[in-house]
Amino acid sequence: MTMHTASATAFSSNPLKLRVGASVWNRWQAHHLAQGKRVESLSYAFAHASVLPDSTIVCIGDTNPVIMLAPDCFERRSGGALRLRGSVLNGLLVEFARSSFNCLVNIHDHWFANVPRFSAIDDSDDLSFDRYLRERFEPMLKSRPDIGPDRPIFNLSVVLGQQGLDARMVAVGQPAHGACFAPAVRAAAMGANWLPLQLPHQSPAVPHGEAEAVTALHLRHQDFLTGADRERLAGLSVGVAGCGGLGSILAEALARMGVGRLVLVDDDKLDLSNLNRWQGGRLQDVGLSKAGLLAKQIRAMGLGTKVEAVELPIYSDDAKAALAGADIMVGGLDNDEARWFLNKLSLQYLVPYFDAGVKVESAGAVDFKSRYFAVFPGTSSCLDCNGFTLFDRQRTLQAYMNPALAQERRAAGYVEQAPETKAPSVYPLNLQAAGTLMTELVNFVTGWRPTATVSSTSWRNGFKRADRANFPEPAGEECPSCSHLLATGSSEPLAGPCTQSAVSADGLCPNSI
Amino acid sequence: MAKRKPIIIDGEVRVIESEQKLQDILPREVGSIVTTEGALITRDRFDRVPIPDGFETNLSTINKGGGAL
Repeated sequence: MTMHTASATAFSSNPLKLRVGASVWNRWQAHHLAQGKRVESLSYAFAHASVLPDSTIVCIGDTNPVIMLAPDCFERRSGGALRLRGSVLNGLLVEFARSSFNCLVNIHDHWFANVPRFSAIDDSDDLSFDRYLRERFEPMLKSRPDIGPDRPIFNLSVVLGQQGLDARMVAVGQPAHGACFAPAVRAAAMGANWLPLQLPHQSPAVPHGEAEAVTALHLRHQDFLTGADRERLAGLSVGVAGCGGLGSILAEALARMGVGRLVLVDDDKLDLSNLNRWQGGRLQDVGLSKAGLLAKQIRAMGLGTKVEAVELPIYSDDAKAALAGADIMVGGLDNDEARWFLNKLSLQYLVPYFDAGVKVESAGAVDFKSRYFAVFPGTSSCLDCNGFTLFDRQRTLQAYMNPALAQERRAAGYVEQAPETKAPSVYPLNLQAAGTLMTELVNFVTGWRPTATVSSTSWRNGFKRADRANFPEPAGEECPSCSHLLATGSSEPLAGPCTQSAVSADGLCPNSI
Repeated sequence: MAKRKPIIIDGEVRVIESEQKLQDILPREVGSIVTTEGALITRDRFDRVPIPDGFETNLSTINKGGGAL
């Protein structure tokens, strides 16, 4: 399976996931649902839609064009209906045609409803506009490249209510799919906290494992997790990139905290040398896939966690799609090239990314260090623009393009000055790093206190934590990653580090960093 | 004191402060309807967008309605 830049037709019956930047969401709220407002409004946004093997993701980032229409843009407007002026729509269509975006989003409100549903008038309007897109707009782009780039156009319709929204992809004449609407199954706003958006027909997510185990889980958590918190955790899908010493602890911890669905990605097999730190590893498991084994162990816990194992490199198409489709990504990785890759994936698909790592300094005064960072796409700084030095940018990018250097860096492991002991038993250190990450991830979901974007622990120098209150570093306007990649989805290439086989005879790597 | 520097925009010579960037002096596209700021766009701004020859305009109106009032 491959990740498509655009489908031949701009429709997929895949589940639709809508991700909206926090500032876009706030603007929609202020414009459409202002207190005292008593008339319907309409606005538009330009976005990127990405068709993945098992979902279609629409990302509307904080830097995407968001077009709010003034009252004089309407022929008429009332509490329960509106009609847009033709000249306004056509001016907007000219601008959209010129752009590189493939998804035109119309947003209106049912300000009088809590969780709204599309009306029969909305149905008729969406289908009528979609006929125009299929029969006239797309053919025009195909024949007139001077007007705008030829591409299939995704037609997304959103209706907002006071406590939620409904959203659907529209496409007429899709007999293969037997439907003209593909409703959204997930919607979330991306900020410094997890904000799932309520959709109609969405039942509360509750753990549904063996009743006795789930009841025990609830009883133990209820003192610090409310029912709403537990529901949010149960509704979460978390992608775990890397299922080694750290990732195996993280995956088990996520399940025990009540996260509903896990996607475990790792192509490695359990080695005898891993048993000093791999969570739950036994001698008879040596040689088995780490992701597969971990999935089996978590299912056996009986907490009802849905677990999928992707026994492939994180750079493979299936792994990329699985991670992009998750609500949150967690990295339990052993190299900065992989972190660079996940940082890009996080920005492109608006997936909050939590990462932890450990390091042992053995020369001179021995020290044990762990480090945590998180990326809230569009809201916080990313790995590339963080004010703290989280990695050696130059060496990492060199290694990204140079397989020999990457191999050399990975061989050094996480023990500085003594690469020959690259994989010591760092189980306690991994527990510490995983504990920090898990606390911040649950904090992100529950909103107990401002979430940390960076923290570090040194056995000798103590614990330091930078959070959204004391270090509110925003996404960098001049950051080459944040400014270029945010919410671009599959419209931007997402290549992993260069492999030896891909390097050309003159030593050049075709991949983009 | 920083030196001033000459630049040419559309054939017109202008002298600007050395620390100024192009984005500081170029006129903003006041007619653009594409904004990420969330400001309200008025009808006249849309009316000023030139429609290219051969552009397939949408002839039907956009109607939304909750119908629940």
